[in-house]
Amino acid sequence: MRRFVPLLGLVLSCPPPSQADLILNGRSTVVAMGMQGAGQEKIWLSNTLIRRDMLDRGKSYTNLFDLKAREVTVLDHSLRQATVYATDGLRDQAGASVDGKAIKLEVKATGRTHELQKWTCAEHTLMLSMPAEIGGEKLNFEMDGTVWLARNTREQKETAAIVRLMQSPDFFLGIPPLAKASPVQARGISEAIRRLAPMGLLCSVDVALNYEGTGRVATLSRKMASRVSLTFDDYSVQPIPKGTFDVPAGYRMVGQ
Amino acid sequence: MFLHLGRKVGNHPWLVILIAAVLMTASAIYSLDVMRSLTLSPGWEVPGSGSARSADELREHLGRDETPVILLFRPGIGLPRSSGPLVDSPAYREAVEQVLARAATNPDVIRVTSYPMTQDARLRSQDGNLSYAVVYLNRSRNEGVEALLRLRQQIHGDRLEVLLGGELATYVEIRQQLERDIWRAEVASFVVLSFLLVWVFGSVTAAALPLVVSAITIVLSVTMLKLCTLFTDISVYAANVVSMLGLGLSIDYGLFIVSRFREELAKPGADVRDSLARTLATAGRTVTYSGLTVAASLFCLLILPQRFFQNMGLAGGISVAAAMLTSTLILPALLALLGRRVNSLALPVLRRRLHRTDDRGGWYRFSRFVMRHAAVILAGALIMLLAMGQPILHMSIGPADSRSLPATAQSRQVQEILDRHFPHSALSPLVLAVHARGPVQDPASLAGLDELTRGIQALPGVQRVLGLVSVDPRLSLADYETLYRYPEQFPMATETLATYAKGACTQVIVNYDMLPNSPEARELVQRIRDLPLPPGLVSVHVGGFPAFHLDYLHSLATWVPWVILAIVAVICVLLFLMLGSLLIPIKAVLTNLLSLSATFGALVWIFQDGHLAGLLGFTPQGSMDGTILVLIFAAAFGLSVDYEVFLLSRIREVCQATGNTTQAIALGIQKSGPIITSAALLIGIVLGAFATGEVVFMKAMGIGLLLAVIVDATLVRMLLVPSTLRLLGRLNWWMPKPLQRLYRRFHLGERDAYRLDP
Repeated sequence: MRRFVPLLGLVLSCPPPSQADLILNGRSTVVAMGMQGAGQEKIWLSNTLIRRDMLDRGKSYTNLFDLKAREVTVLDHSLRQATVYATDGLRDQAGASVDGKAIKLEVKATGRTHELQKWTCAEHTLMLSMPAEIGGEKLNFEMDGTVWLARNTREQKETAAIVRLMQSPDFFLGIPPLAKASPVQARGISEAIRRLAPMGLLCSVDVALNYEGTGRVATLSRKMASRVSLTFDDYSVQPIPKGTFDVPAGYRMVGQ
Repeated sequence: MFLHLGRKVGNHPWLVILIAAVLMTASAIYSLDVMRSLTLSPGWEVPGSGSARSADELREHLGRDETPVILLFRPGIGLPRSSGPLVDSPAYREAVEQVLARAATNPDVIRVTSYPMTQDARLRSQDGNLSYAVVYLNRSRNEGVEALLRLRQQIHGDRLEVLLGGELATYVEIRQQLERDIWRAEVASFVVLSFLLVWVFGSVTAAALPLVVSAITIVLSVTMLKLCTLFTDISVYAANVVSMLGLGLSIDYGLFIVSRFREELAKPGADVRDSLARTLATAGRTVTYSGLTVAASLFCLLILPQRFFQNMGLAGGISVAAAMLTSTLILPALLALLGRRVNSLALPVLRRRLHRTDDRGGWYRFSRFVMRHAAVILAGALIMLLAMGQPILHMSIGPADSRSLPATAQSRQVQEILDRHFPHSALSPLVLAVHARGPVQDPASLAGLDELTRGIQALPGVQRVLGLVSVDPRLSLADYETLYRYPEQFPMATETLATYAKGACTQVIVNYDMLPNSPEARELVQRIRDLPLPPGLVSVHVGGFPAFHLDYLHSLATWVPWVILAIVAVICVLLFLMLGSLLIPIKAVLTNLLSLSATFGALVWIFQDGHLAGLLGFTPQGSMDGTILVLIFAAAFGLSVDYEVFLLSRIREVCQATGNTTQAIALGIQKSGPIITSAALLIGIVLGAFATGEVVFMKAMGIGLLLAVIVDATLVRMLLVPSTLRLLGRLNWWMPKPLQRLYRRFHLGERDAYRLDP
């Protein structure tokens, strides 16, 4: 679960082509089922390429997104292997049949702000709701919390190309394991990314994930109190070495 | 047979040397890389036990084959101070993550749990200045040892001091310390032995022969050990046994053969070939049967189910057999070639020792004195032995832990820091492998698991049970059933399933609030095993350190009596066939048992009770390591019998020639006493050198065997043996008629009617 919130961040931070590259450092946390997992996140953005490095329970992974080619490559550094996924295929797995119009997203400014270096991050409440059905039980998948967005920054103005790519109705951005394990949530997250992208650069996000309804799955979901958050501690604008977005030499390509 | 062998070797010494040289060269080349063929895994687990089956099930069904390592993070100089708890400061967190990020690319690392990652309070110290991470390493073929060595290269921190701890780290440090200790002990004992042998023989040439024999023995033993690795896993500890026993016994055997050869050669009119034949017919035969006895008692360790003991028995048996073969085949060939030059290069100051042939020396007079007061001396010796053995009555068997290491060892420091600053650390949880009747997500399986979990949680001392139906205490069984029916909707459920279960097998972790090596922890294991098996489940196997140790102790309690019985039986039979006596073998076994109980009593007094701890430089652990006791028993019993055989065979030899038992005892002791004492002194040097090691295990082994040799050389051989033999009188050689027929048919004595002088 920890994997998808940073996704929100990395897409919202996309700079346009020909712009200086952006590097973000932060931490993500997930709390669910009485457990907590936290880890470092590092995101590189250059043109339509995104690289995300993460430590997941002590293992080092990298996701290389090529938004133009609609591909994501997952690098497992301990095994020195790379797996390439087509995001269209992931979209199909993630329940693309859910109508985008049925997914509701409300974002409201609260007026509170904080500074992240030169960015002024404004707090917004975030409420995403989308229909879901589990075991014949009609539910609503909801993401409820706060998101801090930096508007009117030089970097934000330059994300136009990426945002434009995202406006395609069949756009999907997802992490392969999440798209496979939790398709409804992956679909919701992808849609949230698509809609939030034009609104600003992400400073941090903290949301509760829930299935709302009256049946047993909804009851269970409330008890589990799942919560995810991502906070960027710093960013820097600097040229990124070209090889950063390539599969490192010596890595074995494996099938999905 | 031995007479014949002696003549053959005497006639063709060059042929024997040539064959030996070819064999040795081939062996040396073949066994050059022997250490690579040996496994670092000690093989202490009991096959088929609950703990072993837990590990097997988790490995086979869940693909879980991991071993935890503790990384303790201590603030270094470069870390800025924090107003609140240091472990919660961004600088500390960043420094920890920097270290873990390096380990994250390590293919041996399966997963990591750290305080910055989980905020788990058990992973931080009470004062908030320290935290630790648990790194789970791939166990692989070598129990994770190689993975740990690779990890150690990666985990240095710029602003943090990173200390490695946990059971695996302790094991690796003990292993490395042992290697250093053994190397030092071998070099030191070899140097001291060289000088002592010159002193014993009075001649450099004669002194060099046992050393040559020991070198050949070790090469041959190592070759045989490597050949054994083609069929079974052999632990690296086996190589240490080979070097220790090979060196000690081959010097002993060499000493006996060379001494006897020189004695035969010194007789008027003796020629080299005849002396050699007589040497092999007497000392050669004794060495062979002594070797057979020692090897047989060591091979009895194969009865124990643990591979560790089987390896030790095999290695010990191999080295004894090699020492025996070298001493009775290659050494005689060398003696035949040297002839009277065996006494060459005599040191002027020691020349007098070359010509000692006194039959009425101090040993003779002392044994006569003992025999004159046999009953009183026997009673006195027995009282002394029983008094020495008295501490056995409160002997407690427990596992070795990091306190086996010197106080400067890193894993010991980690353990002490954890004990002092982390009251809730749970480093050695119980790991249960649970097999359900159907897939674990099925309601029936989950119900069974829930019943088991609640049963365990109700047991005293249990802190937390972690498994499929207990990861989140707020959820009910019905909630878990729903959760695992639709795991894809709840990513953490998917991860929990991936972590804890596969098919019909699942893992349950139990944290408890007692020391892992305590009897209370073992009692908890037994209580869990005693819980009724809930419907829906097929089996529950409890693993983890306390379970392993409980199984280990249970296995020792079950099998050690059989090992003792086998050793006693083997020794009785061999001594009977060699000496043609019914009572002497029984007396020998009882004497040895008494002598060993005295040794064990002294060990308990020293190592369990902690007397002499300051002098010997160790930390008492309040219990004895069962492994040490078994190894000491097998080796010391063998060594005691070894000396007993030398002494009794000499007495028997004189008795056959003179028909006077009392005279035979005194003469036998006079003839063999100095040689056996020299042998005991020499092997004592080897063992004493091992006792100087830093690891308590090796120290106890060295001191235990040294004590056994000292007790044997003094109380047993000087007092008990002559007094009992005197009191038994003619009964010494008594046998019922059926046994007499059996002895005449199968006896191991010389069939040649070779008359031997007294």
